[in-house]
Amino acid sequence: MERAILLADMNSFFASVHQALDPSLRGKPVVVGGDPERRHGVVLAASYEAKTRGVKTGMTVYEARRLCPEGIFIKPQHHLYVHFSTRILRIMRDFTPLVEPFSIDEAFLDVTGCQKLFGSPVDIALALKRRIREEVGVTCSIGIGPNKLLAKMAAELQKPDGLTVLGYEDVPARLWPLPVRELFGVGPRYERHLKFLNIHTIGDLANFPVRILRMRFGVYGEVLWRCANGIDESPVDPHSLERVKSIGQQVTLPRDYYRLAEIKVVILELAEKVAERARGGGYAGRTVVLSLKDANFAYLSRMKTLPAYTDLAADVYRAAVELLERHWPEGWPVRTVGVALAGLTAGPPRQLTLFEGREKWERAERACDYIRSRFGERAIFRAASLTGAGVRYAG
Amino acid sequence: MRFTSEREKLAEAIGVVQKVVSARSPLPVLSGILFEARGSSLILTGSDMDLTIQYAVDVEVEEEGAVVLPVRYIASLIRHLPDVPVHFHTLPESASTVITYGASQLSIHGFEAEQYPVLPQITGSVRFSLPQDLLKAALRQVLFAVSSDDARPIFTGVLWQLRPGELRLVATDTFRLALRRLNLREEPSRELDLIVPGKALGEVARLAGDEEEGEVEVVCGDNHIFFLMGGVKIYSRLIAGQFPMYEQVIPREFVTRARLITREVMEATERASLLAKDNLPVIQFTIQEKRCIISVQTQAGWIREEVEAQAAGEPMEVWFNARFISEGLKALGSEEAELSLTGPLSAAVLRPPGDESYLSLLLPAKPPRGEWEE
Repeated sequence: MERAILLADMNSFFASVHQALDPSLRGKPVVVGGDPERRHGVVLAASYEAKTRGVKTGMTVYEARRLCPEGIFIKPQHHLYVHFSTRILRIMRDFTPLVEPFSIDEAFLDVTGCQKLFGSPVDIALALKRRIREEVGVTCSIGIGPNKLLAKMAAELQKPDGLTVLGYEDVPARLWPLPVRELFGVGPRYERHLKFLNIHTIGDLANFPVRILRMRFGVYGEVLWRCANGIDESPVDPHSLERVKSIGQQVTLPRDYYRLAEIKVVILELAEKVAERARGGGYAGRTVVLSLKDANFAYLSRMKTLPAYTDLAADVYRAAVELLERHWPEGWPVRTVGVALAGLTAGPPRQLTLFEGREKWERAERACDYIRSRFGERAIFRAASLTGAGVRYAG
Repeated sequence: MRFTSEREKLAEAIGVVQKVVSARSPLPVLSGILFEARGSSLILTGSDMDLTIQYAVDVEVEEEGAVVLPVRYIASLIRHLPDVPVHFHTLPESASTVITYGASQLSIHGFEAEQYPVLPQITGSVRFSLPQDLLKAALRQVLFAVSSDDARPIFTGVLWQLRPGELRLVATDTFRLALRRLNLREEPSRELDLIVPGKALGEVARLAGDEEEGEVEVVCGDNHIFFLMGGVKIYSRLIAGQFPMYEQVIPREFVTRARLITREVMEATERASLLAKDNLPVIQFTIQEKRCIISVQTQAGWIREEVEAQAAGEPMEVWFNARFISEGLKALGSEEAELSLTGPLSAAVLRPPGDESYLSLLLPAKPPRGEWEE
């Protein structure tokens, strides 16, 4: 039986949340992004009123201000967006349990089995749009297709507040003329590779010999070719987001740091946060990733695989510092520092160790988690954070 | 420098020193092998600064001298030459060396020998010697427990403890620990603790002979240790630092002891680990009075292996990393294995029954919680 899949994409989600909360913002150019006091703030979302002035997601706040001086600039408040997103997902789950959150403002719904209850996919999409608009105050675009790929492509075709159905029979007429970069899964790098093969539109890709794509790009070449032909068998997986692969923290420094000793303080703070989040979710990981950017955004990202799974800041810190000392020359300015724990798995067996008093450390870090959860972020932290290099508890 | 040698002999000599030479050494001259013709010998030296191997072979020397030849060319060329006498000729004031074999010739550009770093003097107040086969076997019993994590250099080495009448070798990666005691025929002049890089000892184990006659002379210097075995000399830098107090972690009392057939447990472990996760292959050991059950359940399926055991003490369930168990059992080198447990979350000891000279200690894993997902 042909499936019926919906992709609901909230329009200008962050900006819409603020407009929903504050009626005086409705109909006005609202720009969410950056932190006015910090550097390198970028636009995370812009209302349609701001978008008509040329404001785009990803441009700097500075640039946005120049394009739209009368815009209302709002600092992002993530807890609000998470709250709204949860409310929207709850409405979706009234229609089907097969809801797969795809990002904070997008979700797939498999409505194949609930058409007897709620009517055709178009009826369901209309009802969903109405409920989200009335109960949450946000509009969305919905794409309907026989699989996730076509639903996603359909939702892109009409924004804002759109409703588009894309069946297999529509693929040649509606998808094939589009430039190949519009295809889900084709990034700038693949776009370049494909151009090299004289593939410019989705149709060029769909009609290209799959054998050659497989030879050049491996399995992914075939996946792209199937996508271009509108074929996608992946199921709507309600638990996909629960499988976290990595947990990372990143910070832009208030000034450039030159000394490794200062950078290490920041790494320690990030490592503690990363480990705290991993423990909070019951995860442990084996790969530590350190990423650093200098003033010109020269980028360095290096990883190290640990001998055993960990959720301890001490291990994350030690590995990240080893990467720092091995790969970053002292005296080079650092502007952004990121630490991540990857290769995560939930509740893995834990190899015990000799000599290191590891069990004690584990208890100590868990005790800190508890103290912070009860008495707040600043209730307990490392003395190194007071040295002036610290950023997490500064000010 | 001029000398003539059989190809076979040269190839073997290069094979001895080649392993420590990296073709991409940061110091270009170290990407070569030092050839020195002296008296009636050819001495080959390979080094990475921390570890140096030297090997002397008899050749017909016509003119003494030395040159450094890049390993990536000399090693493969010698391997591919026909089996005829090979003649080396380095022109004076030059690093180019002409190699003549039969009616053919080739030439390799090398480095002048003066550029080669000066090797440390073989000096040290403490010397002792051991049969090569004994040291080789002992090293194989501890090297598996050496850590490969450079973050803590101490654990990438083996602790050598010289005590009256005895040498103790200890290696640990903090997950397991191996301890081997060797009797010394002569008393060492004093007690001494050294940490010797595992990589160097791997070379010692590789180059030591299996026959009984050969001896290894060990010379302990302040920063270096030297191994002299026939024509082979191995120089290694020591690892600085304090090895942890390992005696304290070796349990003396046990809750459960089981005597097992080594091969049976190894095979069962091997099979069980095929169903376990690759990146953390933990399997469960259940010790009962007459048997040991080795089992694991994962998303892929489950397996339950039962092997004979002569057990004493309480029944016990404990989880181990399958790889650690396999390596530990293999290092025992005995038909039977004694597995002694102190609890499900504390150290276990493996030893050959009735042999006090060797043990390895292994820490269990905390079992996975609930449905363990990748």
